[in-house]
Amino acid sequence: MNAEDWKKIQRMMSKRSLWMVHFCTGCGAVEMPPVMTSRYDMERFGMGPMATPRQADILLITGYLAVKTLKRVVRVYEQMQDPKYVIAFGSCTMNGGMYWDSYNTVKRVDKYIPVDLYIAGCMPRPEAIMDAFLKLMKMIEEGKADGWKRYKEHYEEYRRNQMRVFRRWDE
Amino acid sequence: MDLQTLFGIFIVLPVLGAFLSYSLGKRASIVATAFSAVPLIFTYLRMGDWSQYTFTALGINMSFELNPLNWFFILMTSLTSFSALLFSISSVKERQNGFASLMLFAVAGANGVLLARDFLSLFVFWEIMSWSIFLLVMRASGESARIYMIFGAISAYFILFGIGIVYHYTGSFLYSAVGGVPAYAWKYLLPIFIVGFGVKMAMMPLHIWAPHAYSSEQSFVAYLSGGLSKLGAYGIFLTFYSFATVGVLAGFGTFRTVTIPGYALALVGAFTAFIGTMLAIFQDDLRKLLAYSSIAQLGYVLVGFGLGTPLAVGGALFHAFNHALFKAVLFLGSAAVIYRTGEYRISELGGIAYRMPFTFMAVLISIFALAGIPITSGFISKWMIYEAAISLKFVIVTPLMLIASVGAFLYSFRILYGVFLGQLHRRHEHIKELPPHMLAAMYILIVPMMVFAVAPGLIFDWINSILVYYGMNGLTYTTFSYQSSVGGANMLVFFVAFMAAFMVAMGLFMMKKARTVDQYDNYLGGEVRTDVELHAAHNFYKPLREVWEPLLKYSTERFYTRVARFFAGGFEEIKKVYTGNPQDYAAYAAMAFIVFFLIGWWLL
Amino acid sequence: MMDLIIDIALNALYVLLAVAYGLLLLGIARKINARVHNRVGPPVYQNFIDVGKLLAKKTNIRHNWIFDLAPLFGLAGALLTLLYIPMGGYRLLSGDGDLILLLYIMVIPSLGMALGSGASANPNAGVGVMRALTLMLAYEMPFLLTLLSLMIFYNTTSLSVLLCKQQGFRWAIFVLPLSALAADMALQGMMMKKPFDIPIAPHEIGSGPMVEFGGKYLGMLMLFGAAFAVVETSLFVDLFLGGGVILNPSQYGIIAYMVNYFVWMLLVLVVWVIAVFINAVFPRFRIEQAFKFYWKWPTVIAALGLAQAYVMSVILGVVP
Repeated sequence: MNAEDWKKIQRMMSKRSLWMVHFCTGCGAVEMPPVMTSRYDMERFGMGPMATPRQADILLITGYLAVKTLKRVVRVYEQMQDPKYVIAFGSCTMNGGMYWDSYNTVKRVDKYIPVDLYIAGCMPRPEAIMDAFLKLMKMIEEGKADGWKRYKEHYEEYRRNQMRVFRRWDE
Repeated sequence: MDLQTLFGIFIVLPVLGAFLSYSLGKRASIVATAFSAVPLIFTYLRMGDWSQYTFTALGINMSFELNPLNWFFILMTSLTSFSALLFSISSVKERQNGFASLMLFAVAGANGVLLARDFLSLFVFWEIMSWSIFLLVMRASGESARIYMIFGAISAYFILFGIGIVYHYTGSFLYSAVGGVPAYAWKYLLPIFIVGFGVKMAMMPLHIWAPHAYSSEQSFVAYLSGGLSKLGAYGIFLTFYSFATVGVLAGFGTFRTVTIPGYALALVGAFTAFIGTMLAIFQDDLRKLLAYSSIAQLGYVLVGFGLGTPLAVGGALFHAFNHALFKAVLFLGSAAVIYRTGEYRISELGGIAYRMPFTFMAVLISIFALAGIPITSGFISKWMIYEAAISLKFVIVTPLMLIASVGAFLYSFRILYGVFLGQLHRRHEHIKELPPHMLAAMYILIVPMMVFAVAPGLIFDWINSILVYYGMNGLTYTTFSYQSSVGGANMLVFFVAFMAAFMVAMGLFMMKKARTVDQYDNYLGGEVRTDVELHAAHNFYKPLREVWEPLLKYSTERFYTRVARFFAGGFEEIKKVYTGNPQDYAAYAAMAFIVFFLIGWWLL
Repeated sequence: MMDLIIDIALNALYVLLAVAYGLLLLGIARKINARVHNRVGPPVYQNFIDVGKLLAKKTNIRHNWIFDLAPLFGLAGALLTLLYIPMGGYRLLSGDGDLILLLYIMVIPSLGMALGSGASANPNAGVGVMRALTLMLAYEMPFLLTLLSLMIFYNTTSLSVLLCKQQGFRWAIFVLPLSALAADMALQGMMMKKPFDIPIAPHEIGSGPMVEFGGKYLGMLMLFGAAFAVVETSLFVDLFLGGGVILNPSQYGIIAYMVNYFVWMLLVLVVWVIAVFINAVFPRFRIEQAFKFYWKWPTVIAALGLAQAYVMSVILGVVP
């Protein structure tokens, strides 16, 4: 067994046991209950909600982010342990969606935290969410879901972008 | 060893030290520590040198003795007094000479009480000790001292009363003459002595002085709770197994091989343990919490003495020993916290462990002993008392003790979390660890707890010699294991298994590194508030308190206060008699004359 | 010397198997829970993957050295507790430590966890531990009474003697059914299954004591949880169901040990599944409700059981 094999085993385990902290922002959170309950049942894949970011592996951004919320999201993201993944829901997280001209909404989430996967739609249906989860699992297995590495690499850049919005970190 | 040495080392030396340290002023505690170390070392070396001396002074037969029992208790009291004095070198800041000399007077008194083999010297030394305590409590609060004095006086009166009764029947003050007291007199003597000694032990209805007195200077309270409260246990042991003897006790009838007075004492002890624990859970004052815990733990000792089987009595003696050590460390820990922060309310503290790790370790280990975690010897003594009660098939005493020990976890965690863990307040961020001699004072007491946990056989040798000395059967034990009639345990196996399991956990733990983050990097819903204090220690057991509210409204202290107020009100009315008018006084005199005259006439 | 090595190896094997079985039990519980909710649910081996993932996490955080005591004491205490519980008639170390010792050893891992979580300075952890301790005070009342009834009736505090006396289907549950009922009710709280999962309520206090643990810390605590699932159910099996001993080892030798082990596993599963089914359909109590509940009905039932044991043992002189 060499290091590559261990890495493979580790990836296999982390794809089969994705715990999420669903940070409910915006309207996308309402699509989560059907995904969790008997219709789609994401626990089939070992996914489940976790109470705190310390325990969790994926962060779901379920909809538009206000500037105020972004700060909390960043903190939650930084409190998660590597490897960690981010899935952003809906068009608001990509380009602001219907809030494209709002003064208080973050238009592109991946300027501030690395997003591994976007789900398009307003809102995405549970089928799309399930599909995204499967896609993420595949990406993890192939080692492509490397947002957490990007965040470490380009930490200054991300922090610069964040600070542009926050002005102050401690309010 | 002759009488002069015995008397000189244990009584004259501390008294001399007291005078010397009083004259020294600022650095009195250092001298006092040295003076208290001598009896301690002497005690330890003179194990097995049992001897008894009788002499006549002022026409009264007096007697002193060193035997396994009082050797054991002197070891406890001198150990705690030594470490309390060592601790007080820095912790007592004002009028240190008074503190040190009073402590040494208490030491002399305690040694005298323990060595005495006649009632007269017992009483004299008891009063010396009691008055030193009174003055030491007085240093902190006059109110507490007054409450202590009332109970101390009750204790003294009862003991004196008992001594009077004994003297009436035997015409001698010697312990050896007590056998002459007829069996029917024990009906009165037993409760009198139990109340007299039980006060010092803070037995349940007589406990209310303890939370007040234990709120005074903590390094002294370490000695008061650790050392001096054991004198009550010593007195009760003497009353039961030396003065009265099992034969007399059994004369009152037996309940499944346990004598009726013993059973009553065990019941009182179990209720003391239970109620003391439940009250300790809700205290916010660290010192009061420890005081109630002290009351509860001594309840176990009472149960052990009451049950009277060798296992139970041995367990009680062992528990008294353990309690002397761990409660002294806990009070010293509380003293340390107060010394560094000046704060004793648990809800105002928090996170002290990050700044004072060694103090925390000492407190943690003694809390293990208090809660009965098998890593320390506190478990073994509790185990012995439980097993004794279980093998006797007692269904009231046992559950009360067991549930009280579960309650002990609650209040121990209250100390651990509220004071030492949780969020460190900004105003306490600068505090430092204790100086080495204060830590040494705590760790001296930790060492025996750990040693006797691994090899309980060492202390069982001592306890066994006490039991044999008082004519009981011995315990069943080897160096590492101990048995009762219903079970047993081997501590060596336990420790080896524990170490093995710990190694496995350690191996798994060491596989990955961890990054240290500060205490504000906490998950609070994505919020990081450094400006708010988020230490969840205020009214910690609120739900439990709400459930218990209807019961908590009954309080012995309030009952006593009501009684006191009733009498005070009555005396208020009587005071109105003193009008200040001489004519009224003349009228009273005339009335009194008539009353006396009539009574006298009628009598004649 | 050889005997000692074999003994140690056997003990280690039993403990390892028990932890693995505990993880399987947790998986079974998740599966049953899912089926009651009309879901497919995760595979039964899901918890093995979870533990593996947690232990393989790339980064871990700690707050201070006391924080480390939680996984260390947690796992060490759990393994130690397993060593003192007879499994399938194999007594492990239970000959060298009786029930009272076991009761106090069982506290070590929880205490370690309480210390570690307290050191995280998260108020949720403090509240969670407060609830856990209050719950402990609540369920220990009936549980200690039932233990006492057993200890009085069988006149022993040793688990291995208790197993001997229950051999041949003379199980305590048939003799002292009330105590068994009360113990099972207490077990629900001990295992923190609903309606008594108050201390670890994820939605109220962010999973309580576990709030700050992640990565290897959580992984080791999960192993502790798995071990304790076995400890608690196995304690009930050993106390009331004869520990699964149906063949006498002195008669049948190694076959007896294997058969007994499987019977023990089956009985543990039964006890576990009962708790899981109750767990699947109940909402959560508040802590004061749980306290009132435990000090009311289970305590009354346990007291009746104790009275029965007392009458049988002391007054009627029944010797089992």
